[in-house]
Amino acid sequence: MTSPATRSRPVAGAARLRWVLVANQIAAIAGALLVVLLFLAVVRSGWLLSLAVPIGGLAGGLGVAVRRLDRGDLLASLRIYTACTWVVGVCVTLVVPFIWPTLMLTVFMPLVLAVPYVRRRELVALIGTSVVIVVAVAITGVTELATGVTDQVDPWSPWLRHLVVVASLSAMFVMVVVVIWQQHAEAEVRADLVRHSRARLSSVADEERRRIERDLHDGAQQRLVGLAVRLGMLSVQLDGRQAEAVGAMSDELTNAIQELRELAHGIYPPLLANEGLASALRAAARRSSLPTAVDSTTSRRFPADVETALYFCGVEAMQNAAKHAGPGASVAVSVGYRDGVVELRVVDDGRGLAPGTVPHGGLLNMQDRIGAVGGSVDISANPEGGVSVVATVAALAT
Amino acid sequence: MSEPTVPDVRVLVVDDQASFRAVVADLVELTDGVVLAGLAADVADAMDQVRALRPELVLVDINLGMGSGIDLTREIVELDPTLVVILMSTYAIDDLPEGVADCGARGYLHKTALSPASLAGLAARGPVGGAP
Repeated sequence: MTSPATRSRPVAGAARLRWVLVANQIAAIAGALLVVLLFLAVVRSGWLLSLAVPIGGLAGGLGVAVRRLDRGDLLASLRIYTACTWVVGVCVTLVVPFIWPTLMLTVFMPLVLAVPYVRRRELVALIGTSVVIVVAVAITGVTELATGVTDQVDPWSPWLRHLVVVASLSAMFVMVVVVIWQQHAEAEVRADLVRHSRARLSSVADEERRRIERDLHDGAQQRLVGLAVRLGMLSVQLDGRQAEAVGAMSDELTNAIQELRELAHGIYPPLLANEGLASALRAAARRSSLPTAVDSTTSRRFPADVETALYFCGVEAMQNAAKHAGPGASVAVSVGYRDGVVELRVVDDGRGLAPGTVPHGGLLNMQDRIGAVGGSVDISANPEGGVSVVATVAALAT
Repeated sequence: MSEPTVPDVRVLVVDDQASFRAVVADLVELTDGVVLAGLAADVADAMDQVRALRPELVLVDINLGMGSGIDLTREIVELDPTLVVILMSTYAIDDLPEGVADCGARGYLHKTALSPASLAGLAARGPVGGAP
């Protein structure tokens, strides 16, 4: 039993690495049994039988590696696996020199497996050591430093050589596939973590923007408006130059209030929180320099992060249209919801996209925004002219 | 200036912010032809006062914190269609919720436009209303 203080800490990817180690262990046990079987049935060679020792040792070593992994020590587990694999690689080269190319591959396996778990410095050390071992295996194999079973079985019948080569290569390929599978799973999990983290960050930032807008509106803005009304009241009670002076102050204050309102609006549009996506987009459309119609086939509300992402994407697309569509163009914005997917379309009938003129900055902003909530953005030139921006996000309507 | 024979228009002010209620109360006091009927902070309070005081003009903030000035306007107009309700907010016209147009309010006033002159203008239109 482990006390809470020494209980193993969870290591990212440990479960997937464990699976590879266990698969390796099973392969090693099968390999050791095969060697014994070959000894009994085909080649009565002491060299061959001696192979069962390192391969059996590998199975045992992998058992230790799995236990270390279970205790949360991923690096120690990788080190044990690496050392065992290299020792077996060299031993097998001594016994069966003619399969040295396969064994070179084997020596590189720990390196490939370790990639997601080690830091750059450790990886460099691992690459260096792997190269040294590979060279050792190659020299041992090519020079037949130890002739191993080659001498003892005379003649090593060609079919037996082929069988050994094919069997060892096949086993190697199976291991490569296992490791590739594991690496892919690892990459997917990591991409997922990044996606979730991005969504969380974006959602927190939007919530903060909403709060700042509310605070500005309910706080400073209301106080300043109250002050402006009081100044107006004061100015009607004064006359002549005093009234004029207060009137000028009141005008200045009104300008400041308007600037504050625009600032708050830029931080977070008030209609988005209160009325939803379509209303906020209609307000944005009224501010656009191009005639812009907003049509919505849904009156439902969506999670705040989805509405915010789609709103800012829509505004970006409208701004792009205003910049690139040219004079005389108009824009049609539509919001729809079908089969659990919200779709926002911003279509203009302007000049369209000349090849290579996709507005990268704007597109990147839209992709970042929509990507953060797990959606996608497609920007394309319409056959009849103009540009379409289509953003889709899977979301549950409320 | 109102004739002495014309009764003052009684105004109910509905705003969730106490400081702004105080500003409008002072404005009503300063403006000829209007008199303060009451001050309310939320929808329930406002409806109680509308029923009890029967004001002629109601100034309603669009954002009432937990409640909506637009919903309140609908309730008031349903109770008494002759009552003049004017919505107020600090939002730009473009940012007004869509319900503003069809909730029964007789007009909209940006809060910075509140002045003795604008309030007297609203009061002069009187309880029978007309186009805002």
